[in-house]
Amino acid sequence: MSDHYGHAVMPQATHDEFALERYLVDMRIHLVRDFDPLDKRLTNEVIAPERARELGRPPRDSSEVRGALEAHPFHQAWLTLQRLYQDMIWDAIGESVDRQQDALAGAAAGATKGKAMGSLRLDPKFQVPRYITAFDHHRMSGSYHLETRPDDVRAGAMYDRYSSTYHNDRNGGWRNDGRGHTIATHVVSMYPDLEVNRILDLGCAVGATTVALAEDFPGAEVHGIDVGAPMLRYAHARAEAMGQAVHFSQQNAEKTDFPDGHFDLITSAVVLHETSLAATRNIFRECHRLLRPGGVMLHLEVPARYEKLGLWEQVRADFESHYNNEPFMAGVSRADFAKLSVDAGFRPADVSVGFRDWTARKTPGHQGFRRDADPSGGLALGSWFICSAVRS
Amino acid sequence: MATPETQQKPRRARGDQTQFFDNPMEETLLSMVMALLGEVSVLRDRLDAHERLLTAGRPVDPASVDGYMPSEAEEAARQLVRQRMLRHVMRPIRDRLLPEELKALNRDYRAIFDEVQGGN
Repeated sequence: MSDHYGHAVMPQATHDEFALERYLVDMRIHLVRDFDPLDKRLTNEVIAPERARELGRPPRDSSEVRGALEAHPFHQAWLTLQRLYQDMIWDAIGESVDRQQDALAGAAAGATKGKAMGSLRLDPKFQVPRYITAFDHHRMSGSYHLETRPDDVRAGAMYDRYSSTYHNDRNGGWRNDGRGHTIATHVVSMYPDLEVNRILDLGCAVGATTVALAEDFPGAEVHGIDVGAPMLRYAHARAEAMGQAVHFSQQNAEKTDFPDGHFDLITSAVVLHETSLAATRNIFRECHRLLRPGGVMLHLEVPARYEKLGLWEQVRADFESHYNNEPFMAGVSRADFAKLSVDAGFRPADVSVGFRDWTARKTPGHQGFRRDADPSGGLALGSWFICSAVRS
Repeated sequence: MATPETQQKPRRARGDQTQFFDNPMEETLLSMVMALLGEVSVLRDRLDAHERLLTAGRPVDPASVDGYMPSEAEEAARQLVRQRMLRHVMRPIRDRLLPEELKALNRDYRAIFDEVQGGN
């Protein structure tokens, strides 16, 4: 008989659904191990020299090889397979979740009935921002906000199953808490004297990071906000099922209804690249308003810094914004986070920007932090880009 | 299993739909082959479940197969089979579409790789 996978609200897989999931994971592994190195060699050893002959100098960045590369059938196949993988996983997960909608609704109700430890506050009049509604982020149809039935948790269920399986255990298995514990590591290592009584996690989605923070700062009052109602309903049930008290509310991180100076710690994990430059500016300013003096703002993002990447690595990173419905990924990888923090009211000396090696659990005194990107120009998997700042 | 609810849900992600190949049938066929390989892979795993149930003397029926969860070791064995299938099926992309200079070097690497692995 099959064992239950993960927490009580996690979508389950039949034999065949699990088999399809594993095929797609293996397809991705094959692409990374077999096709990426070949595409990199095509870019660096064939296309780049051709372009250098045309330009009379080496190409400066991926934009100068993009046309020639995309005219090559091997790269066309590479692009097709990358995008196909995304579409196939969402189709597969969607079918599985649709099959068990009633069971998931029942499990969610069961987890939250009676005395919930945390809470859920939704706003029926909430306006989902355009940078979310305009795209199906990472090609997940309906993105974070589409509702398909009353008390819908579909988007949350899909996202949780995706995060738990397709990351191939690189973010903590079904708990998907690697980012959350890495954030906690950064806080206790860089700001060991910070008293953390009240935490706000922005763009919390299904609450994977939020729950990890609740675990790492026991006794703190933990809040999570997101724009998507189906994500938040699922997140609330999930946190209850995992035994953590989290207060979820449907809000836009650019402008919340919390009072000034309300929080000791405000976090976001791989959220900013789903927004826009204007929204990011607003989010930083809102963080400044919401922090008490001495409080800490911390934004964790994908570690690719465009200007430090090798030529092919730029091509790889560009795929996300060109074709994977992550339009602001390119912007985030080029943004000056220190300047964004200072513009939002933080003092330059109180701002830190760099790369934290990921940790599976909260690790005080952690030394794995570098201000500069990997000099080899690699994609820096295994670390997270973190911008943090102390409110003076 | 299309219900009224599922028919309402968008199946096609809104956003980029760039055509990568010159002929739309090329991407279509490549996508169909990868989807078909997925079906074969699931079929293969189902067959594996049958074989293991039979070997263990357990009843083989739709329910017992639908509920069969491979152990870590069994899934590792399935993964080897899957990776081999993927290599076989995707090899023509490499062999047909790479420029000559990369193919020559890559074949040498593959040969050395297989030699070191002792073949499989």
